[in-house]
Amino acid sequence: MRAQAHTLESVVASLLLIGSLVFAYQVTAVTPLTGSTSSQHIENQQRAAAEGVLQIAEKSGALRRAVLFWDDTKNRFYGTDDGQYYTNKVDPPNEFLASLTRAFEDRGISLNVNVVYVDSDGDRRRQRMVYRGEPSSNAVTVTTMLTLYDDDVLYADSDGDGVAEPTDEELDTASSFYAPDVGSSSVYNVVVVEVTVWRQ
Amino acid sequence: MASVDGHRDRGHDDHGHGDRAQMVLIGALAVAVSLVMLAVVLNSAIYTQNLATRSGEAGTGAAVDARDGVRDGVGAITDRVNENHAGDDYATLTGTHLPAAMDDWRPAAVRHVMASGRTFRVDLAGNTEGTRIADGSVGTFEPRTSGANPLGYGSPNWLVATPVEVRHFRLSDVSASDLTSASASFDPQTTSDVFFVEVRETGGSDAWQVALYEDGGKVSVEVWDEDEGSAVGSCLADSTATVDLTRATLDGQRCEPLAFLDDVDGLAKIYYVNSDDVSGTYELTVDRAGYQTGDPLKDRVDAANYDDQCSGPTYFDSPSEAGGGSPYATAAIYSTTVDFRYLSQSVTYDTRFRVANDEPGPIAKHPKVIDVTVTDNSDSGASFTVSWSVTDPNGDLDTISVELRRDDSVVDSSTTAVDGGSDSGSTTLSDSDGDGNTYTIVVEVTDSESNTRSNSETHVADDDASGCPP
Repeated sequence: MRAQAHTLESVVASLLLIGSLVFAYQVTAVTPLTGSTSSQHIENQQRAAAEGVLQIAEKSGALRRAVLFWDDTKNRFYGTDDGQYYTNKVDPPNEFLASLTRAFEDRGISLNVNVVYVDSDGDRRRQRMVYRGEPSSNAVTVTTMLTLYDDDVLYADSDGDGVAEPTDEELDTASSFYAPDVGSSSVYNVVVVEVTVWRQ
Repeated sequence: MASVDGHRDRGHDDHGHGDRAQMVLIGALAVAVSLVMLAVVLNSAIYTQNLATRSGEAGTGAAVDARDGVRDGVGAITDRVNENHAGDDYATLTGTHLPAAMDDWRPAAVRHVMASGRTFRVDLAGNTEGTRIADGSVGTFEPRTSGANPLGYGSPNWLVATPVEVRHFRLSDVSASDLTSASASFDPQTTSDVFFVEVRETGGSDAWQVALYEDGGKVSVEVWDEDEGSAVGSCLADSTATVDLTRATLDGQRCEPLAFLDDVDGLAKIYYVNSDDVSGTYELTVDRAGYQTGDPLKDRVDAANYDDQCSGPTYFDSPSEAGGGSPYATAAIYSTTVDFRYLSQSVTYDTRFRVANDEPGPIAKHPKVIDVTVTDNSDSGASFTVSWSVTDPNGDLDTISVELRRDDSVVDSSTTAVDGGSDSGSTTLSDSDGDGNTYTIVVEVTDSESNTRSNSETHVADDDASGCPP
C-alpha cells in the first residue's frame, strides 16, 4: 500500500515536472527580439511608409499616370515582359513604380500592386499591376481611391525617359482598357489602388 | 522527516534511498517552480512590448481619408460638368447634370468602401454660381472684339475678369514655337512682345506678371512681382506645356513662383497682355455670375476694355456661338456644398463641407453684386432708379452704397443697410441740373468683415434706354 502511494507520488511529481518544463519552454518560443516577420514594429513601419509613398504619388499625379499607363493595342501595361502586369524588378517604366522600387524593393521588401475597379454589374474586379508572389501572413495593405473620367487620356513613355507623357487616346474611346465605362455622364470608373508590402 | 544520518543496520536500503529520493524530488520541484516563475515574468515582458507597439488610432484616419476622397471626387466632377456642359444655364447644371454625374460616381465609390466594412453617404446640399471663361480652340488669347486697351501698355491687352475670386485657372497646349524668345530675368512690362498674365489685387496695390516665353525650344515661365520690382522665380518645361496657376504646377511638376495667387489680398483683376504672342487654350472659373450680356461681370469687363458696358463685347455667350472664335463665358458652378456621413464599426462621422477644386488662398468670402438695373427717369434734371441685388457666401451682408458720379466726383449717394445671405432693393439718385450729361453709377456692397465688391455702369441722362451708353 505504501509502495503504491510512493509510486503515485513519484508519477504525479514527474507529471508536474514535465508539465512545468513544457509550459516554460513553449512560452519562450516567440519574443520581440526574434528575427521573424511577425513583429508589430515592422508592420507599423511598413504601413506608414506605404501610406506615405501612395499619398505622394496621388498628390503629384504619378498614381493617375501609372493607372492609365496602358497599351491599348497590346492589352497590357507598357513595359511588361509577359502578361498584363509587371513581374520582374526591371527598370521601373514610370514614376510611381520607381518610387515604390526605391522605397521598398531596394530594401528587400516585396510588394504587390492591384487596381480594383467596378464592372458594369457593380462587382469589384481586380487588375494586377505588380505581382511578386503570395504575401506572407504579416503583410500590410494600404489603399487609395481614384476617379477616372471619360476625358482622361492614356499615358505612354515614347521617349523612354521614365516619365509618362499623355497620348491622344481618351478613355472612352480606348478599346481594351481593363476597367469599363460605368457611367453615362463624364465619370468613367472609380478605382482603388491597393499596395501590399511584406518583408521577404 | 526521516532521519538522514542513517541507521544502516535498521531498515532496508529502501528507506535510505527513499530519503534521498525525497530530497531529489523537493529539489526538482523547486527548480520547476522557478522555471514557471521565469515563464510568467517573460510573458509579462512580451505582453508589455506587444501592447506598447500597438498603434493607438481609433479608425478616424479612415474617416478623414474618405472625406478627402469625396472632396476630390466631387470637385473634379463639378469641373467636368462645367466643361462638358458649357453653354447650359446654371439651373440645368445644378439640377440635371451635376446630380447625374454624382449618381454615376457614388455607387462605385461606396461599393469600394463597403468591401472594408464601411459605408458613406454623400448628398448635394447647395451650390454657388460662377462663370467659366474659356477658350477651347488653340490659338491666340485675344478677346472677341478688338480694340481693347485697359492697361495702356503691351498691346494688345485686355481685361479677362474683375474683380473676382478665381479658381481652376489653367493655360494648356502652350507651345514654345509660338512664344517669343527671351531669357530670365526680365521685366515683363518693358518688353513689347512677351505674353504675360497680369494679376492685380484689389485689396492692396501689388500686382504679379506671369510671363511665358521660349527658352532653348522649351516653354519657360517667369513670375515678376511689381511691388518688389524683381522676379520671384522661373521654371522650365517642355516644348508644349500646361501652366496651372491655381495649383502652381507646370506640366504637373510643382513650380513654386506660381503660388502667388495665395498671397492676393482681396479680389483679383486678371489681364492678358501681348495676347497675340501666345498660342494655346485656357480656362478659368470665377465666382461672379455674368455670362449674359447686361450682367455685372460682362458689363464691368466690357466697360474696362471698351469704355462702355454696352460696347464690345469681350466674350461669346457659349461655345457654339463662339464657333472657332474665342473666348466664351458660360454659367458654371463655383462651389458645391455636400453633406457627408461616414459609418464604420467604431466611428460615425457626420459633416457638411464645401468643395471648390483648385481654389487658391482662403475660401471665397467676398459679397457680390448679382444684378444692377438702372432705369433712366431723367426729366428736367438727371434721375436714375437703381435696383440692385446682392449675395454673400457667408451670409454676413452689411451695407450697400450707391453713388452717382459725374466726371469722377460724387453728386449723389445713398447707403442702405442689408443683411443675411442675399438682399435686394432699389435706390433713386438724382442731379438737379444734369440733363443730358454722362454719369457713372457705382454700386458697392460691403459685408461685416469689411470685404467689398463694387460694380459700375455708365448712363446718359436723356430719359432714353437705347443707345450706347444708355
